[in-house]
Amino acid sequence: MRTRTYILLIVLVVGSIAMLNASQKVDFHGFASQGYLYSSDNNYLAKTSDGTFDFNEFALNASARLTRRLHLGLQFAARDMGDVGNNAVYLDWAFADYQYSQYIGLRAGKAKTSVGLLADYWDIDAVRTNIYLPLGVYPENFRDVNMTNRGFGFYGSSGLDILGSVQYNAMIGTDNVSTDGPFARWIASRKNMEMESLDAEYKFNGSLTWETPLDGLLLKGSIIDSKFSLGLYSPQNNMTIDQDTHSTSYIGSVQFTYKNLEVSGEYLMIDIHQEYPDLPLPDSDSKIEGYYGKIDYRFNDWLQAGTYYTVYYPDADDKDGEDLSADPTSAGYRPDYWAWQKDLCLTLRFDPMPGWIVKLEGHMMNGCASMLAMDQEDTADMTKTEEDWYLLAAKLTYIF
Amino acid sequence: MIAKNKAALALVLLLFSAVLSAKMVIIVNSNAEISQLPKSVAKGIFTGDIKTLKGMDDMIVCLQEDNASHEAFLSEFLGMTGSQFEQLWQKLIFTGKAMEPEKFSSDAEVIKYVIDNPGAIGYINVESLDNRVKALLVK
Repeated sequence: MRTRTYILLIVLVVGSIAMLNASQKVDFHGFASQGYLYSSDNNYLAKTSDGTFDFNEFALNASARLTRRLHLGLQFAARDMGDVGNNAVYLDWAFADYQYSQYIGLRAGKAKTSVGLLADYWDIDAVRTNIYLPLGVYPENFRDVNMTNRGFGFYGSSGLDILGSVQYNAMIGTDNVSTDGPFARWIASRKNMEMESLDAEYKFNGSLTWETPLDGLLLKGSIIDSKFSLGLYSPQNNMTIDQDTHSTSYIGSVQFTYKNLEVSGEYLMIDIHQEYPDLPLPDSDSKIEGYYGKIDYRFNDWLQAGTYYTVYYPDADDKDGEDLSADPTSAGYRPDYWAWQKDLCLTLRFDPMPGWIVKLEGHMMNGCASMLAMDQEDTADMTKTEEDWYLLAAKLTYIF
Repeated sequence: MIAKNKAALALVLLLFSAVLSAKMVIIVNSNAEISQLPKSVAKGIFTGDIKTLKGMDDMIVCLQEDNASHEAFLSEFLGMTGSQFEQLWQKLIFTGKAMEPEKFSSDAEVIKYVIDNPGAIGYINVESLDNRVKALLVK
């Protein structure tokens, strides 16, 4: 019923746009992806150790240019990744875009954050080589908090003559985060608490991209700064805890493209400050850190290969897991290898005919930091997980 | 007056030599108010970053289908391959940052569209250039 409502809405909105300005064209585009995941030993984001088809993405968008400077668009999407999404349709983005000049444009609505090299394309399998983005900078558990913002934004570009050119993007607003999405599940797994609510005070995202005078070399700096309050329910203590969080993510990016070769690397640091206004608990500060190096090469029209190595530390002050594994008798005990996750990935992408994409991908993993306790066979005993494990992924996409 | 004529002659010669040395040219309607573009702006227009330009009302970007002119243009002006360019536009379309440009299958179709639409901007092989459209000096 909800899906029908969304489809009806998209038809109504786009139909209205077309009627308002019959001389302008309305563009429709979409994609559908179906994947398969299989892992040795551990379950990663789904019941992957048995093999699973609970891994798909769909999207349909419509855009119309109302005047020379103004265009409107919206996209509905649905996804399934294990217990997340379950193909419920959601509004992925919807905004009005007014470009006054090349130097300044305005956006109002819900838009992608444009941080890093890849955050905008988390859902768009067709525009990249790999199935999974490097988890060191794009952890799947933060997918719903980092991808979009809802508010007002500015963007633009300027030539710098012999120094190349720059592009900027900034947006201030807020965004809803589901209480059963990837972030809520990550909170539940790490803190042994249920996320009952997330009230966002604000979210700011900004980026500055410099296309350097050296052809193909691009440098980018990005930031997401947000304040939000979490309502966390502790089943052990049967109480709800309010937690005020200030989170700032910094991403430094470099990309070099030469003909069919693309080499890139990114570094992520997230500073997190947490306060408990209703409890006599001290404030806490923590850092999340990650990085990756990636190489993509297109051999011909139908074959592309890519490889990356990425490292992720959910607690940058405990990279070896000494603190995490200090007390084996504690509730929610984790072995030290839950303090990191290192991933060596190799992907083959085939484009057999226009619009169709087939991908095969292998991951050699060390560590479990991006895994969730509730996905494992024994949700209470993480010593039964393996430090070294493998993940295989396959995906078929059609895009139009 | 003489200085003005010399400057005009120099501009024409510059444009002529630039056009001769290039394999591809960017063209606009002969009534368009612009006659030259910085290379970064030309790149911004065809990669979706720049949607409006002073002197080009109702700018409509014209691409060519996957043909020899298209590949030559991508290589000469954007430094990209066909698949990189296609993926770039898919990124823009699926994030809502730009609408898909008009697409044509030949230089002749681009020229006809540019003649009929004052805001159109496209690219053709220099050998297809005629005086019904204006070639821009890109520097």
